[in-house]
Parts: sequence; C-alpha cells; structure tokens
Amino acid sequence: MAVAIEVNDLYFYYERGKYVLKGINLTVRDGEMVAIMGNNGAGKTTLIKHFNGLLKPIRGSVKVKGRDTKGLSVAELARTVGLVFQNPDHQLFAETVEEELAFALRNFGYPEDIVKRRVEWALTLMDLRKYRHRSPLSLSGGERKRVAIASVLCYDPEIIIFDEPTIGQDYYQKQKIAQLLRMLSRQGKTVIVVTHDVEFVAENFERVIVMADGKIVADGNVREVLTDPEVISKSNLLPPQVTHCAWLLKDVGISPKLIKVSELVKEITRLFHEHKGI
Amino acid sequence: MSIRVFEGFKFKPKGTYFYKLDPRVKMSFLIVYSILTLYFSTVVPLSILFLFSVVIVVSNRVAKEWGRTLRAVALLSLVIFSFNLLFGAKGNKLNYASSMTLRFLTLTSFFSIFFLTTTPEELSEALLLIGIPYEYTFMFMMAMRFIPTLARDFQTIIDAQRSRGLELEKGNFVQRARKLLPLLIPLIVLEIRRSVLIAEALEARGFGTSAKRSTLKEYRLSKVDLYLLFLTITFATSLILSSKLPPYSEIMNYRLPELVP
Repeated sequence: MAVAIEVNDLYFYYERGKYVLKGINLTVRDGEMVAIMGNNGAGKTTLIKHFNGLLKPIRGSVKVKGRDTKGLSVAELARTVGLVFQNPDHQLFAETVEEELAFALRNFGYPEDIVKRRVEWALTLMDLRKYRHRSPLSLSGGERKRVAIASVLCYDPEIIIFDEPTIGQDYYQKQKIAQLLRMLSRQGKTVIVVTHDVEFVAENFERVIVMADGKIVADGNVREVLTDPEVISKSNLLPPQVTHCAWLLKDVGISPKLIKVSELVKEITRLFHEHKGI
Repeated sequence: MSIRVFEGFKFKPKGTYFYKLDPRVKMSFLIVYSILTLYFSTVVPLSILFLFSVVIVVSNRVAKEWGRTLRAVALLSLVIFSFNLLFGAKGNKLNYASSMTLRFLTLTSFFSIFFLTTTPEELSEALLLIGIPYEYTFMFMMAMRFIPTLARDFQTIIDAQRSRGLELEKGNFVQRARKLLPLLIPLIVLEIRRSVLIAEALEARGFGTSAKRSTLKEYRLSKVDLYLLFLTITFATSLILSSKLPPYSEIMNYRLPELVP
C-alpha cells in the first residue's frame, strides 16, 4: 500500500535549542489506523501539527502523500489532512451547526450544491440533524465535540487526525467514537489518534506509537507494545487494567500478553475448566 | 499574527536594578512617562523619551524580549504612520505622522519595561497601596495573569481554523477583516466560559469574606527607590521646562519639513 505520511529524522523546537521533537522517524500507510500515546509534554501534539503543515520541520522532513510539507500551505494540506483539535471551543463560531460544517467546505471553494450535500452527510453521520439550526455554542460539551468532528469529516479528507477524541466523553459516546474510527478505517481512510486512554487503544487499535521526551520509544503491534514492561516504564504509561491483572496472575498460568477484557475472561475460563478437569 | 507580541509584556526575572525597585515607584515611573509621552507631540522630545526607555531596557538586560514586542508592533506602527500621513490632521502631515508613530512606540516601550520587570503580585500590591479596592486590583491582576493564556488560546484557535482551510493571508482588506470573526468569536466565548468558571471557583473558596487582608511581603521605600523617584521627577521637569524656555524650546519644538510644499 502507498505511504500516507512519512516522517524522516524530524527535529523541532519552539524555543531555540529546546528540542521538543528529537529525530522522529515513522511511516503511516494508506488506510492504517494508528494510535499515538505518551505522557504530557512527550511531543504528540507537536508531531501531529507537522502532518498538516501548521508546523514545519526545523531539521528532517515530513511527506504527506509523497509531497514534502515544506513547500505547502496549511490550506493546501488541509484538503488531504483533517485535524480535529482537542477542545471544540477553539474552533466553533458559526451561528448554526449547519454553517459551522459548511465553513471548511466554503474555504476550499466547493460549489454550494456539494456543500449542502456534504453537510447533510456529516450531520447524519455524527447524529446532529436535530441540532442543525441550533447555535453550536449552546450545545453540551459532548455535542460540541461531535460538531467539531463533523466539521472536519464533512470535507472528506483522506487522512484524519484526532487529538484526544475521548476526553470528556461518557462511555456511550466513547463507544460511538470507536465505531466512527473503525468505520472511517473501513472506508479506506488513514486514521491517526492521539490519546492517553490506554484501554481505548487496547480495544480498538492494532498499531500504537509510544512517545516519550520527544522521541519514539516504541512503534508496533498494540499487544507487543502495551505488554512490554520496559516500554511501559520508559514512557510513564499505565498498562491496560487487564494487562495489569494478567501480570499479577502470571503465576497461576495466565499469559502476560493479554490486553482485552474478553481475552482475560477466556484465559480464566480455560484455567477454570482445566482445573476442574484434574 | 503571532503571540510574540506579548513576549515583552511578560515578567522575565533578570534581577537587575529595575527589578529591585518598589512596585509603587515603578508604577509612578510608568505613569509619569506615559503622561509625558502623551504630553509631547513633536519629534525631538518623543525621540528623547524613546531613547531613554531604550537605555533602561538595555541596562536591565531585557532587550531580547522587548525587541520581540517592538518588532511585532512594527507593522501596526507602519499602519499608524501611513494612515496619519494620508488622512491625518490639517497642517504638517509628515511631522504629525512621525510623532504619532513615535508616541505609540514609546508608550509600548515604557509599558513593556514595566511589565517585564514587575510580577503580577507586586503590581496588585502597588495598586492596593495607592488605595484601589482589592476587588479591582484582583480583577486587574487576573486580567494580567491571563494574557499569556489568552495568547496561547488565540494561537490554538488560529491553528484550528487554518486546519479548516482559513487563509488569513489572502484577500483584500475587507475580506481579511471578515476572516477575523472565526478567530474572535471562539476566543470571546472561550474566555467568557473561563471567567464564569473562575468566578465560581473564587466564590467556592470564600473570596471577599474578610474585609481586611494581610500580605505576605511588606514594601518599604529604599534609598535606590527615592533616588530613582527623584531622577524621574527631575528628568520629567527638565524636559517640560526645556520645551517651554528658549533657547532649548526651539530644538524641542522642531517640526519636520512638509512633504509636499
């Protein structure tokens, strides 16, 4: 599969000499679903701001669909790369939800009939039809988050990046977001999610990139990475609760490589049956 | 647009002499020189005031931060200059435009010096000591405290809207002005939401229960304070006097030549 994003030896600082990113190398292929984890200040948000050209490398390069971001404007890149910011209050401004969704489409110069169709599609997708004439500012926190997501999805970017999509969402909404991510992935979109929510990653992702102190400390299969005690301690993460349980139960014969609730249940049931068998 | 403009208005600890001054003295210094800057409207005294501020900046080793703010407002001063040159008052337009621009830069410079060298606590203390009620000084202090936060929010808002295809650099003046809406509305809403939160947090912690408050640090005027206060007054008076009395008044009131005779 073709490469969606290629980062080559990326260095970046906001203040001269204080590097926030120190030699990042990574490749994300088309249609992949990747989680980026790491503690506060690890450089996650700084990294994803390079993917749509908000920040430009100080050393190294970032290529999006084979094009170097150095010579491209944010507006040019934004058509390909949608970035959903953490706090919806940083972007909502229009009088109605409809207008809010149409904003990006109009910026990109789409004709009105397409704008209308895309807005309709995004409203339905994010379950926002009944709020279409409401002011986005008057909605609840969770609803505002959905408007923010819809406002990016509506122009159908090939690569979609979410910064902390599950923050402040209840369990039900979290499940909805997980569903949405999977649906986007099925449609062939490249999905990149920055999150602290290790359970969310364990249940929904296959690939995870772990960052610490401006470097990538692990990049690979979720199971391998999240059950690796060295990675966990180096990056100040907590393993998923299930994994923690599995580690504690290692002595009774449970595999320490579990990351999902269903897996632990299966292991315990197996042990239970074996034991009864004796 | 950049948050760099605020660099010169943030406290930067350097420990030079200006930092050690009593906040009240610094406050009087700022007030006296702001009034002087507004009092004069010719190029020579305004240049003297500006150079004077530069001397203070350099001798307190804050030139870097100050420079960032001055560079950031350079564009704005260019706007002030050209507007005044084109549509300014009757009479000598070049002279008027130059002095207005100089006045703006000098004011920025003095405010920058004050905020670079004064902690928010000192500032509120200074306001309290000159008799302003605590509620108001607190309000002022909070406003100051939130300038960097506001700047950060604003940068994030700019980033978020640019990510949705907003191109701030493109279009004519009217189009560009319209593009400020998607930036200003989120900022205002965000800050109103935040201020409600802060107000609730304050009330929850019993703000305003006791009428009399004590302070951690007590301020007393030192010799250096009095010395600087004396210097400030002397310098200010001599500037005013020299603009009134010949032979200096001629130089002080010198006007730039008319651009189109």
